[in-house]
Amino acid sequence: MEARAYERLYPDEAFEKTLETSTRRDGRPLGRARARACACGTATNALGSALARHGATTALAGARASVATPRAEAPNEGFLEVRVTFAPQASELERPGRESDKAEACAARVRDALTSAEVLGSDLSDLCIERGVFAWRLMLDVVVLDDDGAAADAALSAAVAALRDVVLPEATVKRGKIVIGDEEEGVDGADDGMRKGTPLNVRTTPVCLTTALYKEHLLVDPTHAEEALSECEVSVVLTEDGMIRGVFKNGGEVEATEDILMKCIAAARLQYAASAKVILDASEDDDY
Amino acid sequence: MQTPRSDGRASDEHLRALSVALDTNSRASGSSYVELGNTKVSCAVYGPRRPRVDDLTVNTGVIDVDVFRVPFARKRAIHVERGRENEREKDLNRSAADVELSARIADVLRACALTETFPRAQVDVYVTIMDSDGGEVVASVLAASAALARAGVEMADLASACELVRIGERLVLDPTEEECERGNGKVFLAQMSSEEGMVQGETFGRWTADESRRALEQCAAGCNRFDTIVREALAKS
Repeated sequence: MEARAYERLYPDEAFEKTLETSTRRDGRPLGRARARACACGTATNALGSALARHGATTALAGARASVATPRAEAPNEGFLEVRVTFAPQASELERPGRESDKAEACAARVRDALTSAEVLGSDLSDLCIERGVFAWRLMLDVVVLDDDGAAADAALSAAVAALRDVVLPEATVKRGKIVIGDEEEGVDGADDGMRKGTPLNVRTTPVCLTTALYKEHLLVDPTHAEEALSECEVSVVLTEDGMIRGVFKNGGEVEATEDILMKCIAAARLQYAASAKVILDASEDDDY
Repeated sequence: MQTPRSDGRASDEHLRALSVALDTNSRASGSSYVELGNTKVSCAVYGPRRPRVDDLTVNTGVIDVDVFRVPFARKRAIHVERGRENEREKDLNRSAADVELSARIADVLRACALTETFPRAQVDVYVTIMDSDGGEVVASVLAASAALARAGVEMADLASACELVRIGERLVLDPTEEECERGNGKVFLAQMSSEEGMVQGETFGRWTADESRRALEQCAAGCNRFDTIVREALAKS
């Protein structure tokens, strides 16, 4: 109890004291990320869904779709919209009904990562139904249910796993009108547990790893308490080919040197295989 | 004649499987996750803390409930856009149904919690509906009362709830969404099981006195069974 009181009164001093021993409050060494877990098919009403957990940080992603008219400048491309929301229960700081900057920053991170990793190929032509007339608008919503630090990492994991889980219904054009598979077959055909249609072809598996900088220490995959104390954060997105698909560093009080950035990238490399495997395994378990 | 139900339950009186997990949220004072068939609800309780609006005239605690529905926890995952209507904009705003749901859960919790034990402090109850297949109110009440208990808020008793739908002549307990749509009358009951006190009862549609009494009795039995499961989960943790 006394240790906890000390932590509350002198958070910086307490934090430094723990770091001197090269371990963190939750017992991890500085360079170790938290255990990651992932499951697909958690939301039965969505076209594809997934839940991702990084330690206690939890994100739930689900996809819906609508049929839209493609943009004139890209007639054979559909739309992929990504939104991240923090559920009011995510932390004591959330206020219901208010969109936070944090959620928007997190959404931008996920959006950028998905785009630059070319998850659906170099353009969105997979989402085209009929050139210039009909295309899918895929709406991917990520809800952070528990924010215990590095929420963007979990959001991206959930988003990628949910995309891998998406099955787009059969859509055909008859006399200039769109017919979606289920509408003709009626309810009987739709409810036998099988999802008819084409699975989305997800080409890459981007994984994000955030590292917090605190004085001279690098804390890989920070918890919320560590995030609050650290001066800045560096997030690195990698794909299976070892390519860097994004490095983000938000403002922060300290400048990150090249050396520090390289260390963050190395940390992400080290972690990549295990994280990607969790996502791939989750979507394979779901195949029936 | 008893016909098996669309989700495979053998009898109209059978409830769906209920599972309750506690302490699912790392930052909340108390939290829970409830699965009732395909309906999944999670709840986190924060506080007691300083109220957002300090009302000097009230000397009891405040319980605030907010229901958040994830955008994909709705029946139709696909729709065809007509004109310029934008579904995204629409679901950004909280729907009236969720506001009403918040108010109903708040009513139940205020009846059960002893608000005088935390004068002029506020407890926030945040409910997240992760997936819905009927019985959202039931699952939300069970989750919220379990999380409240876990947060150490003193309560007269746990709240439990159950729903019933009338389809033709049949009284169907704990209906799925599909059964709700087919039904022509609905009864909702929230009660404090060990005190046998009814906290909230609502009927929709036309009911004869005899029929509604039978419906309420069945709901009460359902509440008791749900209550046992929640209690077991709380005792284990």
